[in-house]
Amino acid sequence: MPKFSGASFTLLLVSGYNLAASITDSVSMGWENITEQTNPFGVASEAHSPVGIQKGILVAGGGIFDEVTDVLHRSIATVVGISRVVCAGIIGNIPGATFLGFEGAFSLEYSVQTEKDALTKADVTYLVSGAVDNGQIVQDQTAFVATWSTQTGGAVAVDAPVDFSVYEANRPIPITSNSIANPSVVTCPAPHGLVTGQIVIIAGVATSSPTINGSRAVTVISATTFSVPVNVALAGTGGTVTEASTVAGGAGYLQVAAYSGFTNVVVRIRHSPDDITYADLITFTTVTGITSQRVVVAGTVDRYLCSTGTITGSGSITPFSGFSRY
Amino acid sequence: MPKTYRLIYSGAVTYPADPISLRAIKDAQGLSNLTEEQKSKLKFKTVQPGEDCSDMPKESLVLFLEAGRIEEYVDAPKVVTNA
Repeated sequence: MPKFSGASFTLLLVSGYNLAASITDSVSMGWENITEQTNPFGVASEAHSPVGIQKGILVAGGGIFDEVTDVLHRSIATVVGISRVVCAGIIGNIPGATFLGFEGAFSLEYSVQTEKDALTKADVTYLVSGAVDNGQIVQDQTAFVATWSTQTGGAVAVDAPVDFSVYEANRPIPITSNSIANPSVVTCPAPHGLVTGQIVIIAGVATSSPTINGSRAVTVISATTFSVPVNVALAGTGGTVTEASTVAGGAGYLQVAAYSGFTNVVVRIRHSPDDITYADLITFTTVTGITSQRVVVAGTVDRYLCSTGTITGSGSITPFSGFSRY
Repeated sequence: MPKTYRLIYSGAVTYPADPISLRAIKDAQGLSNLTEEQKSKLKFKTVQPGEDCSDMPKESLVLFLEAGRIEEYVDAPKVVTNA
């Protein structure tokens, strides 16, 4: 099991600024499912019901205070009424790695600590008044001086598209068997959690003729069964099914930490079901300076995600983008 | 008569524009396995919403049809007038 430490935490992007390099003590972040106690008088155990609201938590402590070389603190020190978009790359600045995204993070409390014989530091606590998303980095934070795309990369490149089917949080679900039928009915030993129309990757199914292994669109029959459009004459056993697309949309994040020279830059997140044909998923508001954006989309999100940037003029830009599937 | 399709998806779509480019991508098992230099030697076509995309690779066309991003359409009959 991989383990991560502070050395992996290289991204804490707040409204385009990367605070990670300035923080020396700690960052606490996460989300809480708000519940209300619902047990009446006369019962021996507590009961709680979720009220359907999530609450984000974000606290950064021990930032080195330096207004001369870095205006980060001057920016976040404004505690009144500025809603910020925050992205935190907790396991590294790597495409495909998990990041946390916060929308509507208000600086709630900002304090500067000055001690004799010590560096001056600052703490900031945010009140998250909006969504908290858990997604994958699509474009790692990198500087570009020309139009870019992470559509390609080559076998050993880290800037290739993000493949949802191999995301560590997207676990393969076991298959018990598939039936002789057209379409063939696949039975799982536990609830599969799939949705009709979703594309899945089936692998490792034995004896099924023809095979149902490969990329398939599913039709959900019950919590533990679904069908795939294959006319099966000999039943199969075993194997796994892994989600390759999702159908409930998601949220895309863009943070631009450095920008100079260009007239403008158009940043997109694109998606593809087959790694051959790519379609626009999100076109962020045209970038003309340091910025942060969160854009929500509905509908199907395909297996592969890539980032593209189309520049006008000459200059330099350091973008980061990520996507959270719903 | 071959069927015709147009893009009804809200964003632009890009796909290989000729059989040689498609073959190169399929041989590599996807664009992600090509380098930027290899990709630069291939031809691509970008289609905007409402435009014809009948030349989309067959495998992609099936998936985009299933996802409701493209639709089959028939050209409006042309009006021919005698001179």
